[in-house]
Amino acid sequence: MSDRDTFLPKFAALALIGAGLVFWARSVLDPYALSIVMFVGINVILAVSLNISNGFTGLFSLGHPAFMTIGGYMTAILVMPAARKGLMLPDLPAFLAGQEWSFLPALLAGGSLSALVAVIVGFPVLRLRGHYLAVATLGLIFIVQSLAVNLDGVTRGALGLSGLPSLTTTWWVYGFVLLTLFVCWRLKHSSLGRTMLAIRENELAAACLGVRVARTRVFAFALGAFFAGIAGGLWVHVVTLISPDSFSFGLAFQLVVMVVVGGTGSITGASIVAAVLTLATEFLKPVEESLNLYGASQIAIAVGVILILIYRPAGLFGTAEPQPLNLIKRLGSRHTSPANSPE
Amino acid sequence: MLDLEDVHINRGGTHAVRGVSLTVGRGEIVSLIGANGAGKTTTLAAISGLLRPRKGKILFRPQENAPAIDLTTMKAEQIVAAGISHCPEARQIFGNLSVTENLKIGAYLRNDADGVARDLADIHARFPILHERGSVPGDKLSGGEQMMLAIGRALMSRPKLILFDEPSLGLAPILVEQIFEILETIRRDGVTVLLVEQNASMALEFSDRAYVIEAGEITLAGTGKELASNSDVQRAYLGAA
Repeated sequence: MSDRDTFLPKFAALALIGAGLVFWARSVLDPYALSIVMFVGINVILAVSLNISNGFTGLFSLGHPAFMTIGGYMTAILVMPAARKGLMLPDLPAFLAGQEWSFLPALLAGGSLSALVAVIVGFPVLRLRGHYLAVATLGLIFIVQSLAVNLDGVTRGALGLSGLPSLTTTWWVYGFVLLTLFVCWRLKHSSLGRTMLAIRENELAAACLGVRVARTRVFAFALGAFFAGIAGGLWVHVVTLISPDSFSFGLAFQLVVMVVVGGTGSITGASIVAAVLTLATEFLKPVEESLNLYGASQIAIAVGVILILIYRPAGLFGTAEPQPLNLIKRLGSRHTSPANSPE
Repeated sequence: MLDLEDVHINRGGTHAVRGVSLTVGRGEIVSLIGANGAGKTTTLAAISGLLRPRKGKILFRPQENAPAIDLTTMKAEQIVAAGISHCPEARQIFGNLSVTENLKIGAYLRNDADGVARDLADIHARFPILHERGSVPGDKLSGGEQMMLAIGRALMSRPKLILFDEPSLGLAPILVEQIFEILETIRRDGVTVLLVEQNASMALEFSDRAYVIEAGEITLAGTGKELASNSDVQRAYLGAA
């Protein structure tokens, strides 16, 4: 139980250190480097939230890009100035045309709409298992994309919405990274989180013990979708553009790589790998260019994933959260009883 | 406390249970013995709500004078909350979760943190090995320890009736004896036990009453001793010539 007592101060301390780093980055880095920092943060949100369904609950979902598209469009439409909406989206339904929301409520609305769609889609789709679920959620990406192409009154079709205000700052991203980490950490160490792990490990036994299997699975799926929607909203206000193919299958693959490599169920693992992979892709770009070897970094990453799956199938961290402080303590006094050490 | 009346269950397209009626009295150990595929596991799954019978009633009386509730329309989680815990076949441990986590999930539906902590301590007292190995992943335990964990987990919901599906499966004879002694202590603590077994000799020795199920129908019923001395039972299940 000591885990729970020391969590809040630890989290607050880490959050402050992080805030210091963000402050430092903003004063030193140029806008291009800052945008990379923002993508690192957004990918951390995405990987950690995908971990709720894919890692904790064992639902192999590829649906995150679909929820990002939904959240991205919703947020973009809500914050767009009414005058610009008249120009760009003349056919927008009246109740949307007049809205001019500020960024935070629009992001939350985008996340909520994604979660709502996840609940509606979840009840039928989450009856599927394993590969079938992966294929169904993959289908969801394409359904959402073709809706975005064809609902041109709301989305401007294949042209997409361009010239969006660049509202996303490192502070916004950092705030939502903290929120995602906080929620996921508390969830994992709660009774509800344990039931998610139980469903992943053994559905029959979980049902025997009174776990509401269907409802918990849908909840996990929807909570992940909520954060994906928010990440979509943040993303499109970095690049100031959203189109039906902004978030596609390739992204789903990258996110799944982050979760699988980091360790299915490990928040720390997913965050670290998300950050490293984002930075690596970015820094390898100039290398590729100078060597004239385009696509080499993707091949390198794919080979790395295959090696990890062969030699460490549970990912780098498994389901565990490495605790550097405890490790140091354990080395100091070798004789701590295992029952007392927090997980 | 539990009455099955003319229960019919379909499973995987076959009519697996054909009109089973049986009674479990408060404080009893009752066993249901039969061969593979006779419908034992299916019957337990219907009681705990994992399968829905197509016909018949399953009446459960959580308290002595309480009105009976019909389980056939209830969901599995409601049935656990009503006081029935199901310890499934082959133990079904959460292999990658620690022993303590396995136990805590057993108390998932309870909101009394103090009571849960007390029951956890009780289970640790009953099975000290589960305390010693509290942070070890479930699949690192031996078969007998896993069975103790499965029993402990089933007790964590503080049930009035526990359903055991083949607790002796895959265990060494000396451990089987030990597991049945544990069932006896559980009963002494006021929990009623309904047990499904292929190990008929052991089940009959420890049961107050027993039913024999063949091809989805109850063919014999009686006290454990009566059945153990019945020549048909001896020939079919106890290996007598």
